[in-house]
Amino acid sequence: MNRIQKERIRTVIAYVFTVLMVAASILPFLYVILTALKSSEQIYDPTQIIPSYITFDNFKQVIFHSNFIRYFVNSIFITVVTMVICMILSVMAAYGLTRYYIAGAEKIKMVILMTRMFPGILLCIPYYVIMKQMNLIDSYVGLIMMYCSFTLPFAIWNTCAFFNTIPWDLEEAAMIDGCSRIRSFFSVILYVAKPGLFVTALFCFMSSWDEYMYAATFINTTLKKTIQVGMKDFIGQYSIDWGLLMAAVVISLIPILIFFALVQKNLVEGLSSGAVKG
Amino acid sequence: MRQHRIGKKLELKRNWPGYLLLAPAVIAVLALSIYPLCRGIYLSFVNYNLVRPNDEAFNTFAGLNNYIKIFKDKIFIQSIGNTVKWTVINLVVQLVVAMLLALALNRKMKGRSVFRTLILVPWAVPHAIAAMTFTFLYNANVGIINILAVKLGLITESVSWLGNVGSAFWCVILVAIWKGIPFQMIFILAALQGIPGDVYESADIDGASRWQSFWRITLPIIKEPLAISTILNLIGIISCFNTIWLMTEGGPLYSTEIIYTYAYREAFIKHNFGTGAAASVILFIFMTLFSWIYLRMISEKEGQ
Repeated sequence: MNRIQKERIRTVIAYVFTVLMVAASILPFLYVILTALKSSEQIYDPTQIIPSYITFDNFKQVIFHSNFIRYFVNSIFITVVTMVICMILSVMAAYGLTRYYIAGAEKIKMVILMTRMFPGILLCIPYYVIMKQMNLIDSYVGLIMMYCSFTLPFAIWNTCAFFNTIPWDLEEAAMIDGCSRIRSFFSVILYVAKPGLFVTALFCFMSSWDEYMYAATFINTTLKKTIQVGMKDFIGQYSIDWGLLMAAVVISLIPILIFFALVQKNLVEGLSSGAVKG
Repeated sequence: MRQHRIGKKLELKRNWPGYLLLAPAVIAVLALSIYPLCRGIYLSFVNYNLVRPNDEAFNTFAGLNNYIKIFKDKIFIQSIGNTVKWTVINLVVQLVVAMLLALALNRKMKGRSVFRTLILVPWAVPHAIAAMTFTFLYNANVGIINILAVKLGLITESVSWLGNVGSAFWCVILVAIWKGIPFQMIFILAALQGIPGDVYESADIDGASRWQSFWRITLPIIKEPLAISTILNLIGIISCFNTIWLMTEGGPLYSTEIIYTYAYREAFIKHNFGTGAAASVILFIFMTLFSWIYLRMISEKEGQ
């Protein structure tokens, strides 16, 4: 067997492997979408893996006759507020850390990063006691505070990584041209770091959108639930309405898909830069 | 001495905006992470009752009692074993598959960018949704896994995969692996892309086989980012709660219970905040060890 043949076989193996893995990644959701489009008789009929007719009843039911849209809005609200707070705090902190001399800056950064490694349960238990004392159980304020505890360290770290890549000279040049420090921050730093900040914001969004444990533990009022917790509404004590549950799953994936499409280009770089390049 | 102090003062004068900018974030981290951490450690040494927080008898110092209690608990011992099993299997399988996938996706192939995006789907999907989805796929009555397995003649009767002690652990770990591979893969891929192609060309000319150049060139070059991403992944795996809790709640018969779910159950189901806190402190000690290694690696890298 010569070299070219060998190379060809390798390519075929790589293709087959990749296609199989891609199938494993997306097929579960294709099946979820198919199920969401089935009527309940079809769901229980093993001959109807691919439905013979489709119906939007499940979606109608979820959207118009359940609390699901309310949960959706709750989640959007909590997530966006968390994201905005984190981005403001972390841009400020990162500018301070990278553009001023701060005693023990590296140590501070390390401690901040260290807090991200805390297991959620370690904070969840004392949070319950603290929030109870502060009367913040069952409130969005409490939940947003908890969400900031895990999004903020990551955002600070990531933003520092992006600011570090911007050379000082750029700002200096702007300041020599007569910009004030504040002006040069807004027109140089923020502008250059924009893609990085966008990716960081996406991570904040995704990790608080994803959160389940805090929301399930701290929110008691039905109408205050987040989307991940609200999903359980369709699971009854004795039976599960699979059609509705799967329609809810499909709807809850929409924001993720939108964000994914927006940052898809910067995703690989953004994911690895903060953690690895430091 | 005097001069030094004046120098410090001047420095502070010039740098005060930096401190001011950093302050809110530091205060937030102190208030949201460090303070609760201290409270959590404190809780693990007291008898705390949530229902009667002001009752003297329930809010007393317990010494190591909470720790002794959990180490006497068979379920906790079982959950340590499960955590180790869970972590090792997850880590090894994810690492191997992610490596193969990254190597494949690093080749020149048609539709590479589409594949790269689609492969990220499991990572982007929230944990709760992944858990719901797979609970559905595993379901005995409507799940496609049973339907297909029966059709193919692999099993004669539908199986309640998540309800059996023998299969539940493997079903849940499969979901965790499925969800974890993309994360690891992205890091490896990013590292692979940093390797210049001519390194391989010269190895090729020297007559190195593919296998050799993988072990002798690729692996040493990506060693460092690989180690960092693996430790990050490890920390994520140890603190995996949502998938397990939503699929099995640690059952059946605690076969999927890990330390994390144990701590949650103690605190929020059984209302034993002290023992729950003690279990989470033990988890924290494990994770601190790994985080410390991670931080060492990063700072070494920065020092270069």
